[in-house]
This record gives sequence, structure tokens and C-alpha cells, in this order.
Amino acid sequence: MASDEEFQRLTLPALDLVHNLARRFARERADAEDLVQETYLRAWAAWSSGRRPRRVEPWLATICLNAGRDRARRATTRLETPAAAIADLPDEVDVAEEAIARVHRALVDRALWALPTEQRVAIALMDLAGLTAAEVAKVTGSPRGTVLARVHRGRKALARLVAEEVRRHAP
Amino acid sequence: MRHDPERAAAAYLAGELGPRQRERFEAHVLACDDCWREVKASRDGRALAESLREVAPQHLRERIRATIAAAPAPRRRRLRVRMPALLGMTAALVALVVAGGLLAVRARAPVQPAAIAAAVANYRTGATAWHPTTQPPPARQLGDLAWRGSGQGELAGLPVVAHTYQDPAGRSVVLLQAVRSFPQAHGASHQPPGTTWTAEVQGLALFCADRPAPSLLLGDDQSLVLAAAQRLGLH
Repeated sequence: MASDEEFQRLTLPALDLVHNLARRFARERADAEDLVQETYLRAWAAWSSGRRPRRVEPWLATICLNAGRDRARRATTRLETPAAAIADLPDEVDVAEEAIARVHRALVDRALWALPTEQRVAIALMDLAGLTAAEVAKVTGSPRGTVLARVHRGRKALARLVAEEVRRHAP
Repeated sequence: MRHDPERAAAAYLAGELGPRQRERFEAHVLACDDCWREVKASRDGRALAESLREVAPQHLRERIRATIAAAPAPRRRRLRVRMPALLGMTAALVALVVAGGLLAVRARAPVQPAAIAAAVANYRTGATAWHPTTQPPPARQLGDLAWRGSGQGELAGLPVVAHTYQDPAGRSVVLLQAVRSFPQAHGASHQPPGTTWTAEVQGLALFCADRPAPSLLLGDDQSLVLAAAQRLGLH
């Protein structure tokens, strides 16, 4: 018999993966967490009606991508934009190393969001979720060659954008 | 074959080349500046992207667990009855009775709409489920209940603003306001004149009204929830 324990045992190890994807599909951290919740709710509904994926990761990635697209379409119906959520506030006391890491991550994150959507999505699925090119092709419904080109060009653009940004802020 | 550094580097880094092609390309890269640049830039980009990986926060893990616990109960797969030819009509009758019984059991299972399941889960995980809002609460005091804070988020695609209230004993009531109606909870009973409903889901008392604005109240204590509804003029 299907149970929520079985579902959780199989899908919760992929929470980091879904969270990392959601952070690339929704700009604000809180929106990304809402997207993770929606992904798991959709997955649970499918699981409850008998769906059993061969591999959990690409399955959750597909659900997350679709839910993210739906949310982007609904974005205009948002009640308001949370001004306080624009900046990622530190949870704990920052040490210098952590502060530098945060600046670095913010810089890379900004550069990633500057890429065309297809490249950002392909990079998120391949480099952050660890899916293979064939899996990314299936998740996005694009030919494998196209996926490889998007990832490759996206990575090059990301490296260039970050290098330019670093040069601009160099003393 | 045409020399295409971009395509070759992309296939190489994605692990798409066979062992011999891979060896050949690695030897080629050492002598080809264009291919070297392609591989180097893509590797740099990949390392930068990978540096964004982070572990999901603990509160999110708890929120997901609570969401699943409060979400619709799993449905059983349909029973496949293979009817031996010799048993004929008798077996068919027995199978129908068994299947009917199973369907009746299934029909009694508490299946909650996703937005209701998410609302219950978010109540359990508390303030971590919401992010900041500047929308003021409809009232700062509802009898003994004092306003403690507000937040906003989405419940399975339904945008909501949440206002949390607490009484001196520490008992909470959460008011959710949405732009469109909440789905009705399974097992809800309608209150006269029929525009509101109440339900108990996972031990929580729920009160829902469509007017003056779609509102859902949740709390551990039913009397507190109903008192809050009355103060808000939702009855």
C-alpha cells in the first residue's frame, strides 16, 4: 500500500536538488520555498494516484520546472511584492569568510539570472541538479544537442559575466 | 569532419564521447587553442554554477513533511479481478461485492484539496512558512486574541496573506485572506445561511467565509476560531 512514509523516504533525499532548482526558477527565497512545497504537493498527488517514477530526481525536476512556469504566469496576480525579501538577510552572525562567500554567491546568482531563460534552466538542471543531458532533454522537451549547446553557451556567458563584474569592482 | 570547437567541447564535458573519441579529443585539445578556450570557459562556468549549490534549510524540510502529512490520503489502486471461467456468475457477484466494499472504504478516506492541506501544514510550521508583507491585519485585537504578525505566500497556487493572533494562554488562530475562494475542505459542514463552512482537519478547527473577502481561519481550539470569526464579522 502506498504511504506518505514511503513517498517521503524516496523523495525527501532529493529535497536539496528541488530546492536548488526552485532557487533558479523563482527569484526570491520565500517564493522558491513556496515552489518547493508546490512541487512536493503535486508529486504527492501523482504518487497517490499510482504514479511510480523510474528515477525520482528527473521526475521531481520536471514537476518543479512546470510548477515554476505556472507560477511565473500567475505572477501578475500576486497581492504585493515583498520589499523585505529582495535582499537575502543573514540568519546568523556573519564571519568574514561567510560574508565573502555570500557576496560571491550573490554575484554568480545575478549573472545566472542575466542569462536567457533556456540557458539558465539548462544549467540549473545539469550543473545544480546533476541530471544527464538525456534527462535534461526529456525534462525540457528539447533535443539533446540543443540542451548541450544551451548549457555550454550558458556556462561560457556565466564565466564571462562574472569575470566582467569582478573586474568592474576590482580596486 | 568539420572542426567545431563549441560542439566538441560541449559533448566532451557532458560525457557524451566514447572512450576512443574522448582520448582523441583530449590529445587534440592540447594542440588546439580554440578547443582549449571552449573547454576552459565552460569548465569555469560550470564551477561557478556549482558554487550556488546549497543545502535546503531545516524549516523547509519540516514544512514539506507537514505538508505531506496533511495532504490528501493516498488512493488505492483499482483491484484487478481475474474471473476464472468456471466460477461464472457467482464469482462475478462476489467480485462486485468486494470491489464495492473497497470503493466504499475509499470514498470514506479524508481527501483534502491541496490548498487546504497546505494551509494546515503551514499552520503547523508557523511563521517560517510565510514571507514579509506590509498588508495590515483587519484588526489588532479580536477579543482575547492579539495580533502577532503577518506574512504572505502561496497555498498550492492560491496567493494568501496570513495574520497570526494569539491569546494570553499562547493559543493561536491564523487568519488567511485570499483573492479568490478557498476550496471546501472534505467533510465540511455548512453554516446558515450557507455561505460559510466549518471543518476539522488533522485536529485543527477551520472556519471559512467568502464575504466580505475570502477568508479561512485555523486554530487548535474551535471556540477560539469561531469567536474570531464572529469578531471579524464573518458569520
